[in-house]
Amino acid sequence: MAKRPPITNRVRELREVHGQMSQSVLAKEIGVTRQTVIAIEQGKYSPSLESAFRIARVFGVGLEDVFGWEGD
Amino acid sequence: MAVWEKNSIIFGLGSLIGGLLYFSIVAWQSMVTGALVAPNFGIWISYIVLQLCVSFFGAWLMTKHAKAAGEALPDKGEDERDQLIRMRAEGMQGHIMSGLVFLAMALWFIHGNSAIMFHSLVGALVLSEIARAAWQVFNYNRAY
Repeated sequence: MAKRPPITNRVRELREVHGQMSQSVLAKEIGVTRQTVIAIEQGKYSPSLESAFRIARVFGVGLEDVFGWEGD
Repeated sequence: MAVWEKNSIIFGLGSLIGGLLYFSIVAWQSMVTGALVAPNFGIWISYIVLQLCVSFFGAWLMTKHAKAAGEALPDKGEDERDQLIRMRAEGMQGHIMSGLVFLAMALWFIHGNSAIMFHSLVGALVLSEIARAAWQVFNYNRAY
């Protein structure tokens, strides 16, 4: 099994903070499938820079508030 | 499971079933005649038709099930992850395909039998399609 990318994210946490936003709603907002949101939350997939910015904008936070580098 | 992941499984199964039908007919006819059967349009087209029928019927059933389960299909087709996975799988399929075509051509030079080359080329098509589908499904379930 391939090594997970060293990028961490707080997508699940931010969804919960934003009124239990569902994965489907977030997926629709950023223009991906629900399965891709699941893969991002599980750390199995690192989104493109465009999608990363879209996610940050949906939650009204900066990119670094959503994504981080493992160990930082 | 992603809609495109299910689609890959269905197309892989279509190739597997079509390929099995093709090679079982070729093997059976070759045993009856005692020599490798020559390329036959009927057998070849039956492989294509069966593969398409299984794939399209499977895709239709999958779409129906996805709608019934409220699993909305992506309205613009693939998203960025689907595209990345498909491109990786197609890249690998190209390598496998070219390797197998090279082998089929080598068999023609060794045996000088065009029937062997034809059946090998069909085998290359079948195997590369199955490999593409398998690699796609594998990539949907790994981290990268």
